[in-house]
Amino acid sequence: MNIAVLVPVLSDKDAVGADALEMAAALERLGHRVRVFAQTTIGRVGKTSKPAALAEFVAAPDDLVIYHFSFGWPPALPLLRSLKCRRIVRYHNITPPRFFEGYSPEYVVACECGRAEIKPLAELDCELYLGASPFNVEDFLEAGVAAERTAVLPPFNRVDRLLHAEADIALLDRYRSAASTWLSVGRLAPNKNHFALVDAFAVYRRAHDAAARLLVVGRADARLASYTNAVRARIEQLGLGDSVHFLSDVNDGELKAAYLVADALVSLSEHEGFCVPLAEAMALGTPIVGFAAGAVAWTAGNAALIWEESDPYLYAASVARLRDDAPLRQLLRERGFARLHDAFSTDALVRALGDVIGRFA
Amino acid sequence: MNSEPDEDKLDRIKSEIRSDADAARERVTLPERTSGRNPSNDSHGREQHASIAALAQHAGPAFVDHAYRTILHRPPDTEGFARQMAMLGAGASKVEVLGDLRYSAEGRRHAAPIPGLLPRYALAKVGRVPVLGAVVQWFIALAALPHLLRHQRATEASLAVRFGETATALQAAEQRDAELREAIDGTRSDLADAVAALSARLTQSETFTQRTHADVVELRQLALTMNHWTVQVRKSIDAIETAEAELRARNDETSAAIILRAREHDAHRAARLQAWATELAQRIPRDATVLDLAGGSDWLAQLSARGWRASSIENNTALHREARARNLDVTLGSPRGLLARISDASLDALTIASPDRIVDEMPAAELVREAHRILKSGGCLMIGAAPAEFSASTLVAVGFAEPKSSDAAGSKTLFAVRT
Repeated sequence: MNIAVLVPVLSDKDAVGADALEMAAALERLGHRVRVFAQTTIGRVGKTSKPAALAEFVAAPDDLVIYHFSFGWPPALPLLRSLKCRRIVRYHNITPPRFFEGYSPEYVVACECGRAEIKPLAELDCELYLGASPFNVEDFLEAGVAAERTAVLPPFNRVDRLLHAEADIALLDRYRSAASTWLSVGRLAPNKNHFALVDAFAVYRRAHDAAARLLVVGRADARLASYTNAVRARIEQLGLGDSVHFLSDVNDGELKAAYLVADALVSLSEHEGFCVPLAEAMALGTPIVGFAAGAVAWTAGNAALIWEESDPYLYAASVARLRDDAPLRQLLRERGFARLHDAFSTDALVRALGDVIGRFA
Repeated sequence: MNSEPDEDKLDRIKSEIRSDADAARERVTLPERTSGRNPSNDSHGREQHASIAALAQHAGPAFVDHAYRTILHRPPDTEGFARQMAMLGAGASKVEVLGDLRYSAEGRRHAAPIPGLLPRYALAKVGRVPVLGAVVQWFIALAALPHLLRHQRATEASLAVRFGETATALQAAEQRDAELREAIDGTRSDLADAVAALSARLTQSETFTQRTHADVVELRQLALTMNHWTVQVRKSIDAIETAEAELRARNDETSAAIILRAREHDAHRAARLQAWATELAQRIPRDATVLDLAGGSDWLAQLSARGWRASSIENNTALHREARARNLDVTLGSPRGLLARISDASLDALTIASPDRIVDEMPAAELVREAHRILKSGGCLMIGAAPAEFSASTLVAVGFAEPKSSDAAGSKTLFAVRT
């Protein structure tokens, strides 16, 4: 069986690119002929073909195309409609535009266009709609796809690479101290809700540890400068200037060091299709505190302190408890390792992918 | 043992965390956000009621930026910003710019309330209509003439006040300028003094550095001389050691020749060795381990021929070479050093066939004590041609028993058993 992995923009840096490339490699290991098709490539992504050549590669009815859907790409609809082979829509979720209103008209338009394609993709009646989490699948269920045409496969990730990376000594030395260290990982975007994060951190500084630090690891987007500026203004307003450290464009070693020095990964994002940093934290034994938005509660499982309320006092108290309660930290770590091993490790994902592809044997 | 299930435990912990959070809420409050979430989520960071006057108080790019954020709830895009700035540059009124934004399709969607904008915007637009626009603008200008005159008089009065304030401020600035100049002159003088002091220190430092450099050069010369001298001394020591080694070898050759010649001319030696071996055989088992000290290769061969595991320590290089040539187990070295490396109670017999060759290095008492240490209980010590210092009483005092003196082939020999 020929399997085409179709990604409009393929990057070696982002989570969608990692999922697509690792999935292609896993399919090859499972004995299929696999080719990756991309309109645009960024970084080292290996050999790819242009979507114009897709129909020729998957010409037989038994062949399969896996379309990675993470933003609007109008050519996808006529292309998928024209194919004779079987089709899987791999859905990574698209952030609702309301998060970007007032910050970036470009993002609002891009997200509106992306979400507008959910309905027509659902109407294509593809053989399978494969979400990275149950939360992602809901979008297609609402668009009218039958439940039996949906499945969940967590994203392939680069947690293994992070585990084998050498932690950056300079960063470890810089942040290793008796003071508490909060960690947030994710790009600086409105749906990540950094306002809630810095509010909770401010409560923690005032109520629990005046020397605490917050490491915000993530790339700042120039198109979201008004959001970044507003977050920084809030940080200044709360008097947190020197205690909040923004780390942009970190490499694997620096990211690993950040997880290792942190007392907790705090994720207060309001919209997540999966949240790869949770899996990374599980792998490196960093306890997790999070807001149960999007797929966060599912991804974290029972290996984190997850709350339904957006209450800064609750998150501050959670980190304080983790700092003081070694058995709790150990319990969450053990559960995290188990969750990672059972659901998000490469072996588990290859097995799950094999089950999914087995439907098409 | 705590048997609480993990899930119950986590629920209990979360409940405790809630209590902690409530307690913290009593102690700590956060200020309201002055910047923050976007307009779609809440109302922070956005002006709810704008007025023409408030909007028009800004000028140029700031006016356009403020107008966009207030009316369209977003910063201006590049194209829109350029278009509005071009309009202002072409003489359009701010009301016209505000109206264009407010009544655009995007502006109507947001419907920002700006009281009084519509009629003024309509008038501004009518002013753009050929002929009619000019008439309307004349009419407006005439109607506004009394207001403009009042405004002019007020402006004149305001300017006069401002002029007076400016003159006062200028005077104060001049005074401040003079003070500053004075301060600068003072600072300049201080700076010159500091530079002079620094220059003097620098000169001192340079002198010190030059002196230090000269010392270093001298030291280096001394070090090189010492090095040369050390090399010469080492060469001399090597030469002395080489000569000493050669001398020792020659001495060993001479001693060995004398010893071998004496053994050749000792008519009773073969019989004596035979007698010693016979005596030993009565005292030690067949598979005994026997060590001899410098007794000669013929004696070691005799011991080996009896089937014992026999070895010898030899301190003469020539005699060692001669014994090795006969395939005998012999080790070259100092008896004291080699005996010290033998384990306690590990030998069945120790023979000292030629004690006169040993006692120069190891006194009799030390040799006997060492023999007692390395011999097994019941082991045999044999001392051939025993000098006076190896007496039976000495052996008993150290811990040997049954000392027996025999006269084998004209030589007094001592045998004793280690207790």
